[in-house]
Amino acid sequence: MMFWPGTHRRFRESLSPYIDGELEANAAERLEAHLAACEGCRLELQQLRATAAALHDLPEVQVPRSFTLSPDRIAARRPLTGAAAPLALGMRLAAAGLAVALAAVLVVDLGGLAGDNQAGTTAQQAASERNAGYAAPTDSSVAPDAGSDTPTPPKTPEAQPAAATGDDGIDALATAEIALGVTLGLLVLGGLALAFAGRKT
Amino acid sequence: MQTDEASLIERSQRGDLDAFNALVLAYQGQVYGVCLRMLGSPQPAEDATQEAFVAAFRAVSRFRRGSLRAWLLRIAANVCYDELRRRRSRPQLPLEAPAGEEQFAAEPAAPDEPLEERAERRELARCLQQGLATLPADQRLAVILRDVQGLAYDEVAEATGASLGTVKSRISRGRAALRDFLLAHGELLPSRFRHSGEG
Repeated sequence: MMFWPGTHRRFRESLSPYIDGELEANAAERLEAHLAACEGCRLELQQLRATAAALHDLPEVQVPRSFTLSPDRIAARRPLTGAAAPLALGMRLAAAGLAVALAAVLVVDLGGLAGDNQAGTTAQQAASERNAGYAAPTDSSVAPDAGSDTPTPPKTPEAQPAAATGDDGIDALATAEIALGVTLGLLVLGGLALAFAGRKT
Repeated sequence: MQTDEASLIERSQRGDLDAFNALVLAYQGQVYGVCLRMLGSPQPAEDATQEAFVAAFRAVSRFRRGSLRAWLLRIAANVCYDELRRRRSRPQLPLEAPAGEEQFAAEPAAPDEPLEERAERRELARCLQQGLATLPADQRLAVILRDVQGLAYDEVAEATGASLGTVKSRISRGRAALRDFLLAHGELLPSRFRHSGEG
């Protein structure tokens, strides 16, 4: 009798649960009817049975020692296995830190660019407007934490949206970017330190 | 037996280390067996087994019901997965240690077993371990739990955290892949197939 390849595939997927008695009664009956007519599937059934039997007959492994626990063992921290453990930890920390910091920088920068587009000004215009803003020494809205009576004008045009809300916004953005840069540097240094520590152990 | 086990579990949950160690003695063979078949060599299997029992003691207060064996094997399987991941992150080390059945401290041969049959059995066991090492870890685990350790499908599902359908599929694919490996590498198998085919 001829069978379509799809028919064989469907029945062959049922062979393993059939061996274990895990096939539903209806499905088992259909499979048995197919097996009666299909030599290829019968051979496959025999081979799978033999494979399962060979696995079942594998010699039982001997336990090399007792794994009973002592209070000391429970209290001990899990040992790091191999030199790669601290290395992998360091690299994961550095990678995670980099990802977070880059995402934050992107958000800040893209937010700035969107603001620029909304204002419809060019970078040059933005710079000149900022300079004009900083030239006004009577502006009372300078953030108290600016740390200087004569703040240096920012060098990038991304701070333009903040110019509309006051100079403290510009400083906040600059401070945020510096903080992100420092965080990034620390994370990279930390990762490298852990990597070196891993190689020494 | 079940009552004894329930009592030991209850005492373990109250922090009784002696009771927990009685459970360790009851299950260490199976846990070590799974770790050894999963990882392919004795030392990592020992480490994984010990780590699994330490983790189990720390978590035993959260064990509620079901099969303790499946629960322990699930912890052991997770430790093995971690070890396999660590190996993948260290490509200078082989993913699977070369498996020789002598590493598995095979049970002594029956005194009346002919030498030829004994050699054949060892060769088949070596080939099976090599074949197991070629399977994806989830299929390997399912096949080991079902065919080597003899767990029922629902217990395999419990030990792997997978659905029954997924377990059926993993066992089916794992056996088929192993059969292909044996046919390609094991010259002994055709005769075995003929014998087993009678059943």
